[in-house]
Amino acid sequence: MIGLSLLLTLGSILIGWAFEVITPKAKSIFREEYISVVVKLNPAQTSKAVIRTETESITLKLEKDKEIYCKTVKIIPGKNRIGVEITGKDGKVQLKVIPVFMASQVFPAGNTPPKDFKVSGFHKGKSEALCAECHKSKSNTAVGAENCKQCHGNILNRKFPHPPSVAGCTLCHTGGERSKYAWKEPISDTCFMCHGDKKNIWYSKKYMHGPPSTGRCYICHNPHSEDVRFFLKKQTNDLCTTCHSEKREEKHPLVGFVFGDAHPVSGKPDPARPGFELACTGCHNPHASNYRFFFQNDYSGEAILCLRCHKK
Amino acid sequence: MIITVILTVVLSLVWGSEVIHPPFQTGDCSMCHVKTKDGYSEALTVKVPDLCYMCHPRKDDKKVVHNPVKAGACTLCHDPHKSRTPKLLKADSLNELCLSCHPSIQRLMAKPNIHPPVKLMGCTACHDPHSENNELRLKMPKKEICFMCHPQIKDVRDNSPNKHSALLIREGCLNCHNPHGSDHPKYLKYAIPKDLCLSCHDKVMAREEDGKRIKNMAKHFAQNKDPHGPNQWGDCVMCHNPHGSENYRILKGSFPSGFYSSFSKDNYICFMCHDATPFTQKETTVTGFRNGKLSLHYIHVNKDKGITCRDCHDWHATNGLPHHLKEYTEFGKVKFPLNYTPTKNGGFCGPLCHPRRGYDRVKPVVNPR
Repeated sequence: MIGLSLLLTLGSILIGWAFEVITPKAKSIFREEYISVVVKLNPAQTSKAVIRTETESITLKLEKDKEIYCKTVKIIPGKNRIGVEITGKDGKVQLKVIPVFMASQVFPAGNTPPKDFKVSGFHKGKSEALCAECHKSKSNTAVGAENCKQCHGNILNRKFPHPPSVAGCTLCHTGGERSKYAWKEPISDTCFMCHGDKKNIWYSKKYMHGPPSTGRCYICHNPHSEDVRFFLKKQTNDLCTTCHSEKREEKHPLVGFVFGDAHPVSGKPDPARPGFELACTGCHNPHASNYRFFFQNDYSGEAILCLRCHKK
Repeated sequence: MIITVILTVVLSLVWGSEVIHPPFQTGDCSMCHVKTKDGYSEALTVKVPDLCYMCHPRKDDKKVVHNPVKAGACTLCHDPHKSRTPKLLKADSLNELCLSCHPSIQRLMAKPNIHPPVKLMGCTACHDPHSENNELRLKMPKKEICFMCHPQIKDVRDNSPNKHSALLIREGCLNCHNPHGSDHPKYLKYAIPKDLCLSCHDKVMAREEDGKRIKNMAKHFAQNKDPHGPNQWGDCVMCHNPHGSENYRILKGSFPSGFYSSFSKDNYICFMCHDATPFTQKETTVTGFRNGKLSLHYIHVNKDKGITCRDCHDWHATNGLPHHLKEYTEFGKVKFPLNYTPTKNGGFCGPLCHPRRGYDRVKPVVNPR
């Protein structure tokens, strides 16, 4: 791989034209599925430029005097190869392949980033100065989301946008060592700025579910936008059974109680929550509970859990 | 007087041990040889082997026939008159006779560990010298013959809920053992059990019973340089019973199969070597994993839904982290990092199970909820 890129670099010097991929950096880790690709090339010597990802290939519209081209592409959980293929006016083709990784706790492919991959901040030094030629990347303010959206707009375009992310990125991306738009771990402290009531409720309960207890809300929720309600990264039952995978195969719950089969857990309206279908969360609280199995209500004694739907 | 007695005894022993072919003993040579005018000639009345088969049952009627038998050369091995060796053999012992044509076996006879039947009973303990229906003229099929003497292994193989398919595929016992002899204990094919095990477990395998996948152990050991206990000297069989077992993963003691289990000392093979005190006593100083005196092993395992050793430790080999801690643990279909960082008198852990928490043996850490 290194040999190949060296050869390509050497070749391009000899041929007399070159191009540069400014971002993403090789071996970067991302959490969002949309990332920006920025290519610097010489339009006078280039006849065609294509960006290839694992799922799509995008041909750039070349302009006469434009050297820098930005494109937002979609990546998949786990290992991705972003290929930039430039065809010169002389017909010679050069290819640069940039390996990146999309980390995600709820997609098994994205569970284990390779050791030599790391999160690299973009908004600093040279790379930002380069963007500042077109974008006002230095003049961003707390509500300057419009400016961010020029490159990162796609992450807000899913069905349910999270209001603060639409209002202003820097509400949460307050900056840190890595980049001036980095966010702080644990992210829950940032979330609790608005969702403080939840903090009080959860932490007063007897049991807390592992993932939310770690303060990494982004494990299940997408803070920008999502196609699923509650900004969940998958449909509720799908999400729960990613980790609790045995529940996907076995019958659950109350096997033998309801005419020999199990109680339905999906596909039917939930009487206790109008507008929702039955799901794991109909009975279990995904964050915290005072009752065993994270039941939404006490099922012991007078069977209050059942009475949520079966009122007499 | 005494000399006469000794002579008589010795002579009687010598003559007594001689085996004489009954027709020869009768002195009636015409039973086999042609009678001529001036006595008997060497010529036979009927050709060998048909002559032999006049009295003896046929020896070449099974599937696999020994070449001399196929050629009808009975007298290649047997002396038709008399011999010092039982079965009228033409050598001083049975094995010597076999070795005269099969010199490669001589090399095996020089090994430090010889399978007793080879020496004590001879080759015919397992092989039929004439013909048999089984491969190599074995007296029973290759996969079963060992059980003539080792029935307890057959019992383990057939009745264990968790089977090792090595006993059932290809050559059965002979996949691992050399039936004649070996340089290594238990007549194993490799000096170190681990090398033997990894000769098959160098790829991902599926359990025959339930299709569950067994990881590529050779790769696991190659990637993780810090082997645990018995793996340091390659002793897989210290924990696993290669013939089969009623325990999870053919272990020699019980071990829970899932992420959660209620704790009992008897549920873990680990306590064959490890002290169980930190797991049974809430306050102790015999473990490093304690916050002050509070044993954190006790806290982690002592619940209805306590966690098991596997959730934090890898007992085969790990890479870098102390105490054979895993970098990632598996829960359902996902893997998550333990995020363990050691400190001088303790450490911090930040898995998905609970918020980042720490412990310190000297100054107990006060953890947030």
